[in-house]
Amino acid sequence: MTRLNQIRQGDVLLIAVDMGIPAGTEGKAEVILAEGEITGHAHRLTGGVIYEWEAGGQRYVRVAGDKPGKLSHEEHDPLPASVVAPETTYRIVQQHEWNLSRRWRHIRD
Amino acid sequence: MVLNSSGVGKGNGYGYGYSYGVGYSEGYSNDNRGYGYGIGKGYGDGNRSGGGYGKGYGVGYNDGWGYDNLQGQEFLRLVADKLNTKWVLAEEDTEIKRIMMEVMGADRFFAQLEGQVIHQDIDGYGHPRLLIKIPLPDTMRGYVKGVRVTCPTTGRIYFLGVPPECQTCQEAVASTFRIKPDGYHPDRET
Repeated sequence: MTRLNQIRQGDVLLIAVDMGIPAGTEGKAEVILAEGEITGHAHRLTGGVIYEWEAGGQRYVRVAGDKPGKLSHEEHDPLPASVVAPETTYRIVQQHEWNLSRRWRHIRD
Repeated sequence: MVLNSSGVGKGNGYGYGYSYGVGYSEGYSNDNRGYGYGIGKGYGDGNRSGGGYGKGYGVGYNDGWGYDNLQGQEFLRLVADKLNTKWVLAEEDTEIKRIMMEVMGADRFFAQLEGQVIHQDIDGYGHPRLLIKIPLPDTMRGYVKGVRVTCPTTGRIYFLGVPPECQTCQEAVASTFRIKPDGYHPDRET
């Protein structure tokens, strides 16, 4: 399967970047990429061991192993989609909106 | 939602959590009615699995009678004829704004905007994207810009505020992810 470099699920964009896992980062089974405050829906990444960390004010995730990570969301991907390339670091970007008071604000669906 | 309110705006915030809820409300006035909504957050007490989120909407009348604890969409339908673009544009929550547009009717909303389409194209899923400049005298430049987009999965229409410098739909959408126009090219979008 061709590696997907940019994966968008609603208001969340994953962008593949060239970066390794910082020492001391612990793996987990699930990472909530973003959660809708109004809807309660969540953008979830599952499958295998997932590493999540922050650096320079940005969030990153990486799925370890040889199987792709599964992305799910109640509306956008009710059935988990195996689309997140393994052993690839992705930057998590939350969509923002410019409001009338000229400030950026997070969008959470 | 923030508009000048001097009326009866009456929102009830409540939480679904087991312990307690914290709420706040904001109100609107229009004629002799006040519209309000409240948002409450619930917290668990540790013994019972709690945590949650609730919203309450209310409509109050000057004679003291009104409704409260309405569900969001029920509330918006009740005031659908009063919804206007200024109210919708002032809404800070994108999802509530989308519901407002839906209740108001997308055609009515965009017609009332009296905006100027300065760029349009088709996204990767065949949906039109429109970059719209809206005259808004209260703002620094006298206008704001927004991009009308369609979610490829749900088909819902969103109108997202973008920086006034944006000239194309691609630039506008890319800006919402804080990346350059040529850097935004999702291989998959749902």
